[in-house]
Amino acid sequence: MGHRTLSLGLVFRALFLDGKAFEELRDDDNPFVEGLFLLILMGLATGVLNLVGQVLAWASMPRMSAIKEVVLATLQQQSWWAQLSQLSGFTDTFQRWYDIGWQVFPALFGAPDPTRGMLNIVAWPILLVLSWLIYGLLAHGFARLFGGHGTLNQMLGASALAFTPWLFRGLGFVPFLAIGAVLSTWQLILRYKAVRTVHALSWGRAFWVTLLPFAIYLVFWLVVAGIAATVIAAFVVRG
Amino acid sequence: MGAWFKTLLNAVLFKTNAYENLCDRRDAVMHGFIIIVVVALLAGVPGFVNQFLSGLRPAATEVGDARAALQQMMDRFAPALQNAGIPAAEQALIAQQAQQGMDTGLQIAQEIQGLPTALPRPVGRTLEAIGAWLSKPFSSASFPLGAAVLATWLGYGIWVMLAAKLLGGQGTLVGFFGTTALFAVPHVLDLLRWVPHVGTALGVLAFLWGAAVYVKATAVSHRFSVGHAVVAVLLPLVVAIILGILLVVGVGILIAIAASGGR
Repeated sequence: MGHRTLSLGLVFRALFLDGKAFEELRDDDNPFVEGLFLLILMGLATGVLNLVGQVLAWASMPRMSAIKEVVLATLQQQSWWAQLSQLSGFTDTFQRWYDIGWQVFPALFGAPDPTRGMLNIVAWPILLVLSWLIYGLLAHGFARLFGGHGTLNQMLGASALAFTPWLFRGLGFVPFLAIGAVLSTWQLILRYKAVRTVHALSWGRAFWVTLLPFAIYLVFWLVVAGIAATVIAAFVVRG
Repeated sequence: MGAWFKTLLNAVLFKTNAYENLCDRRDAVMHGFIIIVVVALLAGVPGFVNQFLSGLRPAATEVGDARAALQQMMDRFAPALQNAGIPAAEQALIAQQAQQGMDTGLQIAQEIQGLPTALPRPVGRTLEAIGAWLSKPFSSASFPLGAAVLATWLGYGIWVMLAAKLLGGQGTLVGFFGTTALFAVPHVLDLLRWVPHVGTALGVLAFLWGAAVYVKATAVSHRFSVGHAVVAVLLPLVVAIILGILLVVGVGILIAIAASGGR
């Protein structure tokens, strides 16, 4: 049976940029397994805590369907509504777009939703593991190109610690708590730390290795957007 | 605890050993994090109390207050329309439409406030106030170093760290982020931002004082002169401004080319 390096203390030390924590996980007998265990546990725990906050926030607010009806009823009382509703097809078109809007925007702006909260318990561990594997593989590839000497196993172990700012999502048990983009910046700093620790690169090389996977993401999404635009254009031309 | 407060006091008085002691600690970032969170929460206390108390009042009173505040804003807006040289008839039309929009918005707000909720309204509003208050450390600053929040500490910090490294700085991530978090300490003054007349002045003082602490922290953590540190701290802002100007000019040129090509 392998030695377990991972502990709550190590996770907190990594969160606060302690280089020794990254070194300890890098030197573990199986950093990949430790990293996988950390991410799944973190995703599950924060998902459950977040659900508590979602339920409390949901219980503090009127039902979304009731709000939707109030807004529509008020709009229908306006003088402009009477004028526009005389136009043929206005009411049906408005209702269609109004319904679509109420399906999209509340979720987009983080309206509390216990169903989504429950789905997050499953989705967050999967999301964490996938982004860990994709980033870890890309960063490792670039690190080797830049002269790094670490192994993929070590890279995945150390880069799992870069996800520790995700723990702040556990504060989601407080309803209406909003955590901004600061977690991404924090993760970026920890990714740099992981790359530097595992591959023993100079700060400049480690900097580029940390950022280059994001350039790949950007190219990927540009290609996807280009293909989507081409497909849509083809449908429009045929139509 | 006493030693910790002494370090903070010495830091805002620009005593170098306070920065050096923090810089050398392995847990400097954790200390920095605690400083930022504590100051952000302290500065958010007046807002929290205000939101908490307004949540305890009847819904109609709250909507009434919002109506009064909006009306005051519209009254201030009227002379601006007059000064802009807009004809009187159009001014009246704009004012009427703004009034209609405001009335509709407030009517919706009032009816939503009256809808039933699973938890009693005061409980829900209290939870909302607590959530908003605890979100303060995670919120964003409108200007680099403009508020004691994690986003400006780390978000602007990575660019300053990069600039400092390019200028030959010798600092570590831990030392740099640990000491630069001290910029938050003068922002304790933000607690008094609500005080009429002096609040804004105290906010400006907190910003300038915090920025000076940030420069000192950069200088100590990177073993720089203050001049080098000022350059490292300002460089990301200057680059961002130049890129912004280039973007605006570039878009302007593209629009002009498109417009002239369309003729």
